Amino acid sequence: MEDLLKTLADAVLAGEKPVAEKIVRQAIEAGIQPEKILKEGLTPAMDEVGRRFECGEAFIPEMLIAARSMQAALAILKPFLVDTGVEPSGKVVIGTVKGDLHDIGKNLVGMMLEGAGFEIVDLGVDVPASKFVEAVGEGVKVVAMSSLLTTTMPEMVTTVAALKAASRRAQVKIIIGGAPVTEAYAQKIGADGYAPDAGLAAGLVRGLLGK
Amino acid sequence: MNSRERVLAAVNHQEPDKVPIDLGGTQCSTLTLVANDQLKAHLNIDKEGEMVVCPLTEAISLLDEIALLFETDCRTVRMKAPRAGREDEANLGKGFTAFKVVRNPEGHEFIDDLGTVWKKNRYDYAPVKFPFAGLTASDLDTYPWPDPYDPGRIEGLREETLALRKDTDYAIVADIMVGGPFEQACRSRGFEQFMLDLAWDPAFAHKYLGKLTDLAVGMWDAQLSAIGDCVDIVCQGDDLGMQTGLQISLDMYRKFVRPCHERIFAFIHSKTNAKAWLHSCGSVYAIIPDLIESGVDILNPVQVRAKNMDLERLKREFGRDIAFWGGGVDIQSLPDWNTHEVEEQVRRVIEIMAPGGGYVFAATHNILPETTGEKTYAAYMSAVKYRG
Repeated sequence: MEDLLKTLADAVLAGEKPVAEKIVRQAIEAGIQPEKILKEGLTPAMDEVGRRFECGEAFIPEMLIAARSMQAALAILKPFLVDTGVEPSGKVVIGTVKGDLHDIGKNLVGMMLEGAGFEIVDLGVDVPASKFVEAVGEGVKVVAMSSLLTTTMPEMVTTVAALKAASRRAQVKIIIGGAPVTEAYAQKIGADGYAPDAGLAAGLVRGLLGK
Repeated sequence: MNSRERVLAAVNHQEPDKVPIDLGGTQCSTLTLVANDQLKAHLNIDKEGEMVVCPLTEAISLLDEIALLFETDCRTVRMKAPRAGREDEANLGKGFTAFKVVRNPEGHEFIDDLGTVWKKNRYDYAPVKFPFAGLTASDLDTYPWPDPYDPGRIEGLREETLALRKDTDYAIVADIMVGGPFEQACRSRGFEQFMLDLAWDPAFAHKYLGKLTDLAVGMWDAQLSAIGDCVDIVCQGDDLGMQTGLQISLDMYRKFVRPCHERIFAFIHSKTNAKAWLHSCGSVYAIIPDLIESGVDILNPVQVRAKNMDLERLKREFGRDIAFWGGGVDIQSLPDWNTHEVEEQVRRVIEIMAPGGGYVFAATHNILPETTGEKTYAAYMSAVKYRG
């Protein structure tokens, strides 16, 4: 049984989408608990991709094909997770801030967090602070903001302030990222965390949520 | 030394009398429209007449007054819009060419030569519709590719270049006029889709990159047939880096992209004695040896905040084999530095990079809109002060 999950992880890691889809079905048919398939098949593969990306052993194509394979397998697994009452590790609201139309980094982070077992609410690009606030409903534990442009970074400050004003700041951890963003900037604006690349984002969120 | 001699000495790895300065020489080493407004206000210049030389970052061509004040050593020639559709207002900014400053509102869209739709937000454009997204390998043969040999592209170009040659002592730069195969592949197909192609559909990726390389070679053929004998620097772009490293592995670069680069730079060198200049953003440290072997003479923009791109290291490891054109002032830090910090940064860069030549002072990209005129002035006047 463990072998099947190891094969699933290997298929995801190699970006072999049809194989990952086939094996996840086999695992379900073999009666493996859906939660176990997620936590021992899909998540470890994405963690490994993240590790490889962070240390320069994998690059964007390898990360993307793994993420697409994971998403395909997860789509098959999801109804079974719901049926067995398995809750996601938490809901993450993610978006590129207002005034910024760039989504490459934001999408990669979203996929990595999904692979780590979080439910992703992707607000897209050019997202005003009010939309982030509205999206912070029940179960949302993290707000993730992206910005490629130095001119749009101040929108992150606006969003932090809007969450405070709406009394939703305490409910969520705020993480930020993007080419011009730094750890020092995250601290300055009162965000809870920053990751320099998508590979480190999942670990950051787990750390912040104590998972 | 005059400006041309100074630039040529530097890019030939000889130490010139002064470090050459570039601002406005290329669409990746100039001011953005708003930074230019602020600099003009600071200098009490109320003249207009700039051109937008790259709409994506609203990069502008420099007014002569500013070029003279900052003692810039290069002047630029650019291919023109194709004749087909030139009169149509909607085609403004469509070609790989310059057009008069238009202050477009947020949400403005334009379609580039390859069919990608770009949408404006505050100060920049991002690609939003990708004409190659759904294409198959056989579709690439029937796609209406731009015609590099449209006679409009080189109309008046030779006369303009010869006049600069005859009447001035500046180094003549032929600016970027078509995206490099890798960046163009991302822009026209969609970034994620092309990344997936590289991994899942290598046959398509190879063919697509080959076609984009054909286009670039065609554009170079048209341009250098007209002016190859009277330019000093020719500019190609191809963004391959991100903050932390390459977007794709070195292995993938060598398999897919390097052959395209070899073709482009071999072709350029077959048509001109000018030096080949490549713009590639982010951390491209890992491919610098490959770029040198592929025929790149000069690397821009040397984004010093990206991983492994610190100037001392680059100079030490590669300074004998490739010249650096950029890194002189970090555009992302510039708005936050005070003018004393700006001066100290510029002084330090010149101290590191000037010995032995191989360096042209330029910023890490176009000066950003949030940069005050005072800071831009401080950066380039510091370069003038410390250049030697």
